[in-house]
Amino acid sequence: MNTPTQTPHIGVGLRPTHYPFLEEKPKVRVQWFEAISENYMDSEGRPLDMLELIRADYPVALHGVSLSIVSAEGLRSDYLAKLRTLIDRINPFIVSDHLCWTGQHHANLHDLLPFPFTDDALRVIQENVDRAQTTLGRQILLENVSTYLSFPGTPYTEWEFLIQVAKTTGCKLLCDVNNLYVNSQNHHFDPLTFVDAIPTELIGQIHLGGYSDMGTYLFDTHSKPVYPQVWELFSHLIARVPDVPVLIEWDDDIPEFPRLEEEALKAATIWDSHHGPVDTKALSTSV
Amino acid sequence: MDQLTLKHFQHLFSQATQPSVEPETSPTIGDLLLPGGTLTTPGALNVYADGVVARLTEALGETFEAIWWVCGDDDFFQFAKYYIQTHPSSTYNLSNYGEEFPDVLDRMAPFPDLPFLGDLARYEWLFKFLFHTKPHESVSPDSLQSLSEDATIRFHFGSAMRLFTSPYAIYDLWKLRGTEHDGKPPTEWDHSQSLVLYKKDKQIFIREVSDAEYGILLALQQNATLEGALTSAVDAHPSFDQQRIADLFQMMFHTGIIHHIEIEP
Repeated sequence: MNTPTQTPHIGVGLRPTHYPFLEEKPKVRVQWFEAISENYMDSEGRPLDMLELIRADYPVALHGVSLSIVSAEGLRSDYLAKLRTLIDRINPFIVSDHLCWTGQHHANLHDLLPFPFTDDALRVIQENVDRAQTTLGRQILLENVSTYLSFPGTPYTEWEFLIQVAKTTGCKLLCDVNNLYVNSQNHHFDPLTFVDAIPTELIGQIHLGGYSDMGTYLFDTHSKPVYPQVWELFSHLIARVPDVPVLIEWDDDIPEFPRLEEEALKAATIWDSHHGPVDTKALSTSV
Repeated sequence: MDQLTLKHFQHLFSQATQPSVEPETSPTIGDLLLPGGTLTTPGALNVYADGVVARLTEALGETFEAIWWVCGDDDFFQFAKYYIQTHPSSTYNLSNYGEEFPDVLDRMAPFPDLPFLGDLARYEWLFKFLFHTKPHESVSPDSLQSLSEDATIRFHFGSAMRLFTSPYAIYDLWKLRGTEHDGKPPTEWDHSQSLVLYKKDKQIFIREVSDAEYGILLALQQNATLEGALTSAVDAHPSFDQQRIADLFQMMFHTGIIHHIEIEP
């Protein structure tokens, strides 16, 4: 397995549509891959074979969508056990999920759901993060999610709440710049206020992706290239946090791998402009 | 808002967004939230409610591809909507949603002229299970040589092997999924079909077997002795002769479906 000795900077999501391309072990210019944990937790089929094939040559991050860390019912033991097994098998350099809940145990809505930023929610999250990090035997990262409604009268802004979560639980933040921008437009705040508020030492990873403009709101679809406004915010953020992995997410209307790679290399160019060249030389299968 | 516990909030939010056949009531959660963008409050809640239906429908569509193919978009989406409204997901993994869909199709019996829908869906669920299942260890074909005729023998099949039977030609139908048809599946489906599905070298194989072979395999799976299984099969199917028994044995060892052999002297 390739275990990174320094931070691998530019990565892309590992998606089934690219399996046939990647199976041929082409030279690619991204440095790492991020896999959706749930796609591999319950499978001994082709998906897991592909993940192990990729892991043999590249660092891999595991990114979940079902941890439901904000669940007032607590975390599911079966989920944590399966995730721990996958972690032990893949040895990812990052394990992350979202700062959200996904439904109730008996009625899972399978979505990244919003919640009010209250002290009660903070307490629930503290208990759940502690249990997750203890069971998984490692630090986790939590991502800010796009939302389409908010809760007036809560004691924290979104960024204040994220900071409280990271500082009081020992987890790190996965800063999704696209989600941050989507929320700034949907909930009418200055995105730079959010970006500048987050202490750099709390940021463990950055996500970039494309949203859809639905006319009445912005929708986090990961179906388009990164928008110029999001690139600008990324540039502003990456100037402060040079040593974090950056990932391009593209989950719907997924292009061919070279087009996805091209989008990732835009991030590398911006990174370069602040910190000097990123090592994006082609990685062969012998890495 | 700080007086409302997270648990109570999540209960109210779930009520407002969970698909249901019950008539909609005015969501009390609406008073607590501010819609994003220029959405209305119901519009903001519908972003989430619509998303649930879309994701669960997509999950059903991926697993029950042949059902979708047979029924067409409109009917499949209608069945999926009913299923989603009546069967909340209790799994953390979206791709594991839909286990009871075959039974619901049986109960709904939406098309009297397509009575095979439940069995076709059951087959697709089985195929999905095998796709994600770890291949098992198989006994060596050499084990056959060491079997004594006097011993009581039981075959134990591996976990990556399943038997399937239906009064309809489910495998023939399933193989045609994705092809164009004019509303009626383009195959003669009104005859029975029995199958052995198994995983070997990470590949899934489907093998059609005769009624007699299926009977023997099923009896062995249900812990019958080899002698008992063969005797019952020959009684029920007198034409099932020694050569066909030998062929069945060869198939069982060649496919690797036997995990271990229990021998009592």
